[in-house]
Amino acid sequence: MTKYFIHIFFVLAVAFIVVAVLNNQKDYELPEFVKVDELVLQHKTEIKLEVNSYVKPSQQQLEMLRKDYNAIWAHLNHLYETNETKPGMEYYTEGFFNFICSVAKPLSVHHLKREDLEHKLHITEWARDGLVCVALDSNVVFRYQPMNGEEYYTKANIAVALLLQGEHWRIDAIEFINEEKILK
Amino acid sequence: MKIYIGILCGLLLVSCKESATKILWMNQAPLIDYNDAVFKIETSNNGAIENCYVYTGLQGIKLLHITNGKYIEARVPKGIRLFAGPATLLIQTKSNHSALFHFVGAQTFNYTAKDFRSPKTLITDSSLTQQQLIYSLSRSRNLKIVNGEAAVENWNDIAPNQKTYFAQENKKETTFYVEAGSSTDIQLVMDTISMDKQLRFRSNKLLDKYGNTIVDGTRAVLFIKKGRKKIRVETKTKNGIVQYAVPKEVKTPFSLVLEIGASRSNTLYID
Repeated sequence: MTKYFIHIFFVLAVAFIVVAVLNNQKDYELPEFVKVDELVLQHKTEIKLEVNSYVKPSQQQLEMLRKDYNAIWAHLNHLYETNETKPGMEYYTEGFFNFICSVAKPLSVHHLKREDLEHKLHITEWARDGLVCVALDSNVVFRYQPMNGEEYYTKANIAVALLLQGEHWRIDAIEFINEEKILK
Repeated sequence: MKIYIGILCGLLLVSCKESATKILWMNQAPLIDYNDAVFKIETSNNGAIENCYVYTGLQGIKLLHITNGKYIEARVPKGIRLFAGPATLLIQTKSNHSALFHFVGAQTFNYTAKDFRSPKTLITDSSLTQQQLIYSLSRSRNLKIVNGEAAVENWNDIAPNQKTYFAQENKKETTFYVEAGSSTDIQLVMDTISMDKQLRFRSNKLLDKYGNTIVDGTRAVLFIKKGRKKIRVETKTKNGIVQYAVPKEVKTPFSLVLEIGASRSNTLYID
């Protein structure tokens, strides 16, 4: 009798291992805080910060803003080049994400690449609870690289509205006040 | 040697011919309205155009194009709103040539305001000044700039009445609250003795200095003193009133004080 029990036990053990392994192989989505954002890792731009608001953010808050603003531009440039909306989800607000998703499909060929080289972010409004930031980004320098053609540089003045939601600053609205070609 | 020169010349000629593919944007203008925009493009070789794109400040969009006689007509796919502002028209030929034209895209839109208040909860004990931040944006996420300013900042004094306010009507996420502060005057009285012969006490209706009923669940502390024994009991307010029944085990005489926050009631002596 015990012989059968041992057989059953072994069958169950093997079944358990098989199920565990199969379950493990299924690719599941990692939680956001474990994920490594390659786009952001590779992107490093120079951001100068200037506080011109009535409410002054702390040094720690500024560092967080600098880090997230850098990430926002990494994703905005990726969006510009490829029109893929999903990679930057963590850095867009719901409304912003809905809008960019409403505009056409991802591009199959990437003809124009944009890089941001310099920023000077003037914080003009900062919420007392630290959840809203409106800023003017003056003298942003962009480098454009067409697939077939010569690269060129532009200088732009940009206004952004950022909201702190779910551990990140997210872009809610943006305006390119002007953009001009420059020589470099 | 001659052959090589011949090949070189041939190559040169071929390459010259290639670069001669000229791309012209016929109705080029510095400002283009996206709503009824038709980009007329002419090339020295019509069939050669592969694709046309508009790159707004945010994303690149492939245009739909049809050949119309001598030129090509490209337009934004129907039902799509584009982000307004500086943009680039990129025309790609089949022979891997591209031409770039810069313009400013315009979009007719209504701006909607977003109103942020901070802090969200005000307590009448502390400052009643609230910061208000408003910025306006369109459906295409264009931020409205007025006189070089993207947002308006106001500092408002809020009335000290306990209430739930809406910064923007019908938008639940914009609610903010004024909550009552701490009570100023506490009167402790004995209730009528009930059937079970427990001693019951109650306070008056507790109000803050502006007459708002203090918040339910505010911690109230009763200090019972019986001879040398001291008993501390924590209870909470409900509908602005503290009610407490002293257990039968605590025999008279004793004294009783109620404390809420920094205020203290009269001392009741029970014989």
